Amino acid sequence: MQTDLTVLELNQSVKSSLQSSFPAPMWIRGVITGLRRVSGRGHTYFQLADPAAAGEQSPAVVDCALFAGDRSRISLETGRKGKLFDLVNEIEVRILVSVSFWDRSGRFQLLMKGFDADFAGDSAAIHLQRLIKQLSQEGILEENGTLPLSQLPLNIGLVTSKGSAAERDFVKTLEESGYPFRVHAAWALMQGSETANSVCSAFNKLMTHRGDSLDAVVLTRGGGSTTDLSWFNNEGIARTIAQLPWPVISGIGHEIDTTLPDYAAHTRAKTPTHAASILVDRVARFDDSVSTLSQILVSKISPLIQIENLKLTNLTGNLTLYLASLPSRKAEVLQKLASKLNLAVVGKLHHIETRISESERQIEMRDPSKMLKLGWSVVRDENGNPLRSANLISEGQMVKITMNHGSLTALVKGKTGEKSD
Amino acid sequence: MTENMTYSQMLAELQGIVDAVSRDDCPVDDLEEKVQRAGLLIKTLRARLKKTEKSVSQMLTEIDS
Repeated sequence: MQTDLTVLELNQSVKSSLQSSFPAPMWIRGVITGLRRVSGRGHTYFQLADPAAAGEQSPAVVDCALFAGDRSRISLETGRKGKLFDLVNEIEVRILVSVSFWDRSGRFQLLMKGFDADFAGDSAAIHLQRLIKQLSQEGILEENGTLPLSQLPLNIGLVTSKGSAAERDFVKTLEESGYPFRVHAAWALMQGSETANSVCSAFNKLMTHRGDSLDAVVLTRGGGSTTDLSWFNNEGIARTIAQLPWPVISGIGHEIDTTLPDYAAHTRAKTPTHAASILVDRVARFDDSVSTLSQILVSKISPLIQIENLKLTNLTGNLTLYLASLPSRKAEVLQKLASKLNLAVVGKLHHIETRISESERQIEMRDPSKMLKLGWSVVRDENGNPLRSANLISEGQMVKITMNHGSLTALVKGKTGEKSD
Repeated sequence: MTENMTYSQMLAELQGIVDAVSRDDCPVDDLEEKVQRAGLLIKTLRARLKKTEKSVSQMLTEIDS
C-alpha cells in the first residue's frame, strides 16, 4: 500500500515533474487579460489566454507574472532595438516564459522572461481596434473631421522628422506644384517610445507659435515596420488631434498601413507625397474654379464694355457737335441782342425826334406873328390884357390893337352883335 | 464792372437793358448810361465767347486724337 502524500509532497512532486518537462524557458503566444501592476514592488501580473471566438470565452487561460527586475531588462532590450514594450489588455503577444509552480500554495504560474517585439501582427491590430472603439465612443475620432478644410490651404503646419525622406517628399511635391505654399515645420520623433510625446509637443508648438495662421497641419512619416508605426497608436496623439483648431492630414507609412491618427485626423493620406498631393489638388481646384469664374466674368462683361464704349463714342460725337456749334450759337444770341438793342435805341431816338418835331410844328403853328401876318389882330385893354370877347369891351373904351407891322390905339364908338358863348 | 460776373449774368443784364430801352417809358436821361453799359457787356461777352471757342477747339482736337 502506497504511503499517503502530504499536500506539500504532492506539490513538490508536481513541481519536479514540471521542471523536468519544461527545463528551459519557452515561447508562448496569447492574449493579455486581467493586467494589473502592483505598485511598490513594480511586479506585473496578468493572464495569458488563447484567443477566443467572438462572443465566447477563451478556451484556456494561465496566470503570468512579470517581476520588476525582468520588466526593466526586457524594456531596455526592446528599447535598444527601437521597439515598443508595452503590455496592454486584449493584445496578443509572444513572450518567453518559464514554468513555475509554488509548492506551498500549489499555484501554477508562468514567469515572463522575454518579449518578442517583432511580433506585433494581431496584437497591434487588437490594440488599435480597442483604441478606435474607445475613442470613437468618446467622439474623439470625429472631432477633427468636423473642422472645415480651407478651399485655399496654403499655410501648412508640418509635423515630421527633420531631414527625413517624408519631409523631402512632402516639401518637394508642394514646391513642384508652383503654388505659394508656406510650410511651418515642427519637428518630432517619428519612432521609438517618445514618439507620442514628441508628436503632441510638436502640435502644441504649432498652436503656440502659429495659432490661427495655419490652414491645415500634416502629420507624416515614411513607411516602416508594423512595430515602428505602432508608436502612433497612442490615444494621447488622438486626443491632441481632437483638440487642434486646424484640420489634420495624417500620412503615416504606406498605403497598406493604418494607424490611430488616420482615424482621428480630418483626412487620411497614404504617404507623405499623397498628403502633399491632397493639398495641391485642393489649391488647384480652387485655382481652376477661380479661372473658370474669371472667364465667365470676362465673357459676361466684354459685351457690356463694348456697349458702353459705343455709348461713349456716341456721346463724344454729340458733345463734339454741340461744342463745335456752341460758340457760334452763343454769338448769334449775342448778335441778336445787340441788334435788338440797336433797334430799340435807334427807335427810341427816332421817336423822341419825331415828338420834338411835332412839338416844334405845333409851336410854330401857334406863333402870334404868323397869325398877324394872315390879317388877324390882337385887342388888349389899357393894361395890356388880351380881350378875347366883344362882351368885354364897352363903348367909349380905349383899346390897343396889335396888327402886322404895328399897333393902334382906338376908341370904341359902338359895337354890334353882342351875344354870349 | 464785369470781372466777377458770369456769362449768364452778363447776358441777363444785357437782356434787361434791351427790354428797358424798348419800353416807351424809358427816360431819355438814362438812355446814354444804359447804352454804354450794354456796349461794355456786349464787348465782354464777345471776348468770353472768343476765349471759350478757343478752349473748345483745343479740347475737340484732344478728343479726336
